[in-house]
Amino acid sequence: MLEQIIFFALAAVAVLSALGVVFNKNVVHSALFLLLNFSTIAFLYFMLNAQFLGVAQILVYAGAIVVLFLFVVMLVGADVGEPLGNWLSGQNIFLMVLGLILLTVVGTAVFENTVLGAGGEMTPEVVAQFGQTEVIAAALFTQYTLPFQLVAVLLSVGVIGVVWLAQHQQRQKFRQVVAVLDAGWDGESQKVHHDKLRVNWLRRPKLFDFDWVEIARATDDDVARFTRQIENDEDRWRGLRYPQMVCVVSPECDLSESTHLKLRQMFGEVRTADVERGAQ
Amino acid sequence: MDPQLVTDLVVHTILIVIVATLLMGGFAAMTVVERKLLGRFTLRYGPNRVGKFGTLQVIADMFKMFFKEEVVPDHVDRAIYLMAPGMALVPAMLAFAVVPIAQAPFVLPFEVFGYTITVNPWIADINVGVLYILAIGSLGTYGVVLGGWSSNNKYSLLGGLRTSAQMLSYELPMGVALLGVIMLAGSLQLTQIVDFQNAWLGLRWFILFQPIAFIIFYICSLAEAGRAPFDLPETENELIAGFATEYGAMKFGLFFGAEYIHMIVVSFIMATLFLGGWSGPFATQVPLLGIVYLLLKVGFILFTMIWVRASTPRVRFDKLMKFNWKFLLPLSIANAAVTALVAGVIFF
Repeated sequence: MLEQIIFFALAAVAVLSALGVVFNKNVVHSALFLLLNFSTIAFLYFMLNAQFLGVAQILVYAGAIVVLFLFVVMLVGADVGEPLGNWLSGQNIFLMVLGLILLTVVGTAVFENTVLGAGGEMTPEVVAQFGQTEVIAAALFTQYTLPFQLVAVLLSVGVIGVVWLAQHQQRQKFRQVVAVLDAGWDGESQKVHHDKLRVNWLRRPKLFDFDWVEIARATDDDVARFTRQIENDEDRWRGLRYPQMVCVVSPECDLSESTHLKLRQMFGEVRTADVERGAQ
Repeated sequence: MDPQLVTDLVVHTILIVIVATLLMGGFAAMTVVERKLLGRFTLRYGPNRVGKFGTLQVIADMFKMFFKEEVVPDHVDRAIYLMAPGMALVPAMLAFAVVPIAQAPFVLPFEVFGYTITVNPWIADINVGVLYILAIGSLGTYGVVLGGWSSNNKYSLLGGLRTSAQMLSYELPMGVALLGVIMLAGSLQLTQIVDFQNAWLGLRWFILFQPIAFIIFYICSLAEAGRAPFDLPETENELIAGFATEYGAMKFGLFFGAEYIHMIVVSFIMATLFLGGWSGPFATQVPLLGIVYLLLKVGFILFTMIWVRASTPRVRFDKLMKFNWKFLLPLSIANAAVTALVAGVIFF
């Protein structure tokens, strides 16, 4: 009796919080409802004697994933009170139908297998003899080893893929990235020349991976800021490449002798040439 | 209802209230101890005006916090702003539930309303104790993150962002470091982990077999509790106390308490997992001795935490991340791998 009361209370909270996730206009509030939803589901697992599953639910979903959501929302920012739009669109109706089908399938499976008896040999009493973790570990590492390993590989592929995409997206498309110091550019901070990407450091004063430096229409001050940033660069691989780079200085920019000396110390070769020609 | 169930519920509730009260008391004591010790470390006196040697300073502080005006700024997200301090404090306390402070349950020598009452030296001895600690630890992030966000203040938001990144990152090596202990003990249950260490005159502590794991766990605990040198969520001199900028009076007090209670609880956990918990010479024969041992170990860890705060400068944020991802995490994985190999050779 007590168990039923607790179950229905938890189930009500879970459903209501799920609705809160969908219908809330404030993204952070939605995320918090999601947190509540995950936690109640963890409690439902505890009630089913599935302690391991419940703790894993809190650890992974409530502890890590919702924090990540919040992190992204904080970083990117979200407009509070954004209108929900036309939520009764064709796509959403299709999704609702799919959801209902899934619910029916899962519901039938659960109903036939547990409610009407035949709950399997792992009754709470049996599990209590071994302990939760041991039972799950035994199943994962004997009966389901292959699926378990496959899931791990799948997750690793996702992680590695993201890292690769984030790091190599630009390098893939361009043979050479040129750091340009040119105050005369208007508007955009980067231009594409055939297979070269020319990024104007004066428009985008942060460090990036470049293979070539061109200085045109820049003052001593600009160059000094640029070199200081490179000196403070802690990336070891980039640090090794600077002494081998070519730096082309356009004759039209009037740099002092000390700036030239600084550039010669920093880069492998300093040429004086017209910048457009030097880039070729 | 079943009378056994009712007595269990009542005994548990009383136990929980006692533990929560003791933890709050520990927080109060720690504030004074920390200020005194920091004073000594930096060649000052520390608080010495209220009470003998400043020992009653905490009562003065509490009076101040309780009777300050409660201000809720207009620009905050009110519901979350008021909820955040609680969400910081509660998970910090919850983790204590699985820590055993003695070996076996003891039966009260008298009957209450005709029932014999058995008191466990833990609140819950669950099969997945270590995982539970990690799970609750990961929930501790919310108070600070939400406090930072709901304050609607740039400094607070930065503090909140830093916290979420820092805590998510440092949870990883912390969990992986514990793998070594779990493999050697062969259990996730804290009572069994302590029982394993209660051999060799109660001195078979995991710190002997897993010194690297202990150091990683210690560093990560400092980061999780937001203690110096990893106190980037607050950083009073660059972020004006970060997530806590818009909080005053007892709401700030709760955040403050959460940090100290987190510190105390994490010390208990560290003592239990690595320093043998209650185990020690003759602790099995004299259970009371076990509690004394445990408190001594916890006291020592707390002292070193204050020591670290007094002697290390704050880490820059990018270095904090680099240290975690490029040093601690690979080291913890290597430690787990070596432990697995060695344990495999010994046990099978």
